Amino acid sequence: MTQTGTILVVDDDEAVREALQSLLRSVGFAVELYGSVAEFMQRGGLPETPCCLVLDIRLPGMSGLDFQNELTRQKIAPPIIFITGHGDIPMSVRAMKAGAIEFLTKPFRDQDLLDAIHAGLEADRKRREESRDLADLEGRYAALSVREQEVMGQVVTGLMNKQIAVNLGIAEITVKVHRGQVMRKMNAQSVVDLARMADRLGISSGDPHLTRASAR
Amino acid sequence: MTHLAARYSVSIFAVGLALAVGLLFGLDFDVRLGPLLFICAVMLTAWFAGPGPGVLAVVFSSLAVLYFWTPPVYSFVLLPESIPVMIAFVASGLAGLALSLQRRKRALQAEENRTNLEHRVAERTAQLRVSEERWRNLFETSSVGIAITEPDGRILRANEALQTMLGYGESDLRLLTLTDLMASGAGTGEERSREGGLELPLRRADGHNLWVSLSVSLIPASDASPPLASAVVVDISARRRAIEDWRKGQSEVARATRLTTMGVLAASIAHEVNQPLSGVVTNGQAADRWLAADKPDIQEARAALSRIVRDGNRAAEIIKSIRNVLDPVGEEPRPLAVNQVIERLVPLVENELAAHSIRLVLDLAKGLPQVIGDAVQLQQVVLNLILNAIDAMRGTLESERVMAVRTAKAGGDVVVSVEDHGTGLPDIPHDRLFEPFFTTKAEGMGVGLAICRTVVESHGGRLWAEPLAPRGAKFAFALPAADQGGTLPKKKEAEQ
Repeated sequence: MTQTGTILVVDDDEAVREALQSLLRSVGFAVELYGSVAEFMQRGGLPETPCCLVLDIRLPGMSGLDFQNELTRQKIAPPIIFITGHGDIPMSVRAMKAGAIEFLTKPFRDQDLLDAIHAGLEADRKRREESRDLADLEGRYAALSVREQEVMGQVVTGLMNKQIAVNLGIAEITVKVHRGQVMRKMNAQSVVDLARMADRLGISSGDPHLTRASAR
Repeated sequence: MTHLAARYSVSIFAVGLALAVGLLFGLDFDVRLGPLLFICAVMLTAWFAGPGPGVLAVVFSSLAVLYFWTPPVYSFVLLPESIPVMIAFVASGLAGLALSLQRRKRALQAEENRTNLEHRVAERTAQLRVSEERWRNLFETSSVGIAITEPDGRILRANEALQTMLGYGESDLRLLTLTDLMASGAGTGEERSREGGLELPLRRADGHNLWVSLSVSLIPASDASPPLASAVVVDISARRRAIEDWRKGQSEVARATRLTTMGVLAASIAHEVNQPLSGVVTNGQAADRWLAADKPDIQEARAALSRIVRDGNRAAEIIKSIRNVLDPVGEEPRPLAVNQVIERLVPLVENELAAHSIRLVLDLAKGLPQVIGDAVQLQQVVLNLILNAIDAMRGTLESERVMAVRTAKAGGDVVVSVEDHGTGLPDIPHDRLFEPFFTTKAEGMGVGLAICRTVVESHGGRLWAEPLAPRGAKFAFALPAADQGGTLPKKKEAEQ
């Protein structure tokens, strides 16, 4: 049984690393081992495939928790499973609040780790899919002309073509044409669908176009 | 004046009496005998009334003799043939007078001497009485116990304070000797001499022991008195109790400190053992999965199993080394390699060092002589210095958190030093750092270094601190090398 996903293990203890490698390979994961955060950094980013980080809390140099913060700060958010020799409650609370998938105390049940890894990979897969979708959406939005983007911004706030025409200072017929282009280019099924896309893209009702228009 | 008159009356009376006796008994015609009476009168007068009346008596007597006994009788006419007799008489009178006066003078002198003497004796007696009273008061009211004893310790006198101290009356004490009073516990070496006396327990009448300081001094024999001894007994039970309380407190504090240290170590130890254990568990689970697969992978399973054996052994190894370090069963002092003592300690602090991102530099000199001591105690000292250094570097930049533990040979000593780049030493005489309950840490008790110093000193060594430039501190201790007369730590102090 081969599973898609790379497990990145960062633990300063070789015995733990080797054991984890064997366990994870036995269930078909690709495994990469690192002795410290610095070693991990040399890898240069995360793999393209779904991945999951298994992090020891206590590491030489930067600790696991600090590394988690650092990744969050850099907006790289791979799923993280913490393993620790002696985790205390504040530590686990901090880790979980910062978005960790699981916080396991060594020695742990293999199934607990594998479950957490599955959950982590699933989350990563979803995250990747979403970000892929978003990138796609952003690409489509970027393909719109400036005028079309303006029209789209007005449409998603629920304005009538006539109002939009007045707001933008163009003919209503022109608005209609732009609107059709937007719906086609954005591959939107309905105005509601378009509004959802706008929402994901971060185009809100407080759109600057609208503000400018009302000020006129 | 009347006194003078009385004295001269004596003269007249004596001469008159002699005349009367002479005349009454008809001695007037016996020239040979009569004047003798007057000699007597002169002598008596001189004796009783002094020279003036004596001379007067001689004059009167001469006149009387001239009148009654010298022919012509009953007249003062002195015939030439009577002159020698008269001269003889006057001469005899004067001789008698002189003799009598001389005797009298001597008698008076003696009398005066005696009076003086008596006076002086009385004065001296009074002085003695005052002195005696003063000494008696001192003896009786002194708050320290005083006993006068015979040289063999038999008690002759015991003052009030001593009686109260021991619960005996003076009459009971007189039946005892100092040795009888010494408690059976005495002589076991617990007592010791201090300046000014011996400290030992005495047995009270109620059977309890009372710790006292006893000083005995010999009073040499004098003409009137045989040699004696005086014993001064001071109740030191309160002081001893205080010392004992302090000692007990100190050893309790030491124990508490050791427990705190152990607490810090426990986390390290747990982590240290947990790593290989967790490896064992995970490898076991992996092996199980390799074998349970549709196509069992024997190769992988065997590899996992051999890792289990390896990690299991590693855990055992760690536990063994911990036991070596922390075995509370006191080791007998024996020759030790200081480097080994430190090397065994390092695994225990590695986790604590890692937790504080501190890099440890071990600089252990080769070919060091051995020292004699208790490995556990010395490890406690080094451990304490290392934990202090860790504390000191809390505020240091992570990149600068370096600790160095060094050993070196210096003369006949082996020197162990722990250097940090921490906050450095407070601006006080460095010796104060080692005083009990001196601390710069908010949560510290201030006993760690004091105990370290006690341990080091019980090994015949010394412990000191010096600042490092530009920052940080160095704590070092020197122990005499075993071949340089390194001393065995005294068991009693070692327990503290």
